[in-house]
Amino acid sequence: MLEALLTVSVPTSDGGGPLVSNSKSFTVTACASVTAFQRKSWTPIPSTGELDITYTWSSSTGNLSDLAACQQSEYVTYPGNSSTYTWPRPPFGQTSANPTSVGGNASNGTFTDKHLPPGSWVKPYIAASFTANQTYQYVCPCVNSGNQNTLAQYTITRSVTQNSGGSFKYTITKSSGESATLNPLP
Amino acid sequence: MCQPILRVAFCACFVSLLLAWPTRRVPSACASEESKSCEMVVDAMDSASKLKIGMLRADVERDFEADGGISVRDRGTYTYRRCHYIKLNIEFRVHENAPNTYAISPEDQVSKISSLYLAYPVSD
Repeated sequence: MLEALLTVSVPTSDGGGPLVSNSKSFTVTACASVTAFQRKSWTPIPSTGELDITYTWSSSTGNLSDLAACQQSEYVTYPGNSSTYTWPRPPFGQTSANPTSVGGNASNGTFTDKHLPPGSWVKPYIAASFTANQTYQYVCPCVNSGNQNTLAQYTITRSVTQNSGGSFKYTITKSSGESATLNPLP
Repeated sequence: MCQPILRVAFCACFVSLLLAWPTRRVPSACASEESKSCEMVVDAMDSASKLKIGMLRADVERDFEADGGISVRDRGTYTYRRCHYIKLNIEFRVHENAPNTYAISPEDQVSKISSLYLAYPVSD
């Protein structure tokens, strides 16, 4: 980002001095884009089945503050075309907006994505599974005409299966290889 | 977490309370039929009213917890622990001495607090 001052000077032919405009200050911002988007770490939380994944990225200019005009977000779609998706019940007790989209300013250079278990567990437990599709993306005014740019796409599968002893366990698996398990269900 | 029927009920009560607020009139449906749901809404409002600028993230997380999905250090969406459909957004001044620059610190200071609102919990 660069603060600049613009003044226009027009030479005249009548023997007088040049015509000089008032000064106008403006800001020059580099046209930055998001690069090197990558997973930094991931943490399964066995007590709840939560899966936390931290991602990082850089600016093409080398300066994250140049991404101040950019927004990064996730866009998650659940099965079906309804504006809400009720997870298979039982055993899941949860409804999600469909699609779900949240995000923030891209100049942070990092975010943690928390993949949560359902808000409640519903008995009688039965085996069930569903998959969501997730896209990480960003928008910068000067990149791709201000349209969305895809950073990564994953599937997120949640399943409840029965153990050989009769109890049930919950597993969340992301297509990039991370997973978390809650075993047994409460 | 709310039961589905209670969720619908308390949502109706929440809206009713908001509509009734200027006149301080208590909706009869809430008072006589769904009092427990409404009590939880009032509890959430009480908890939110105790949050002040300058408090620590740890203070916020006594009654509220981070919503799912993307979160960053300097702002986040929090859900009421007793009902994740009641939310607020909070901005933080990042605690610079945190040992891990990527970690969210319980010592981050609250700098801005939104009003409570209703929304589905974010899970991914």
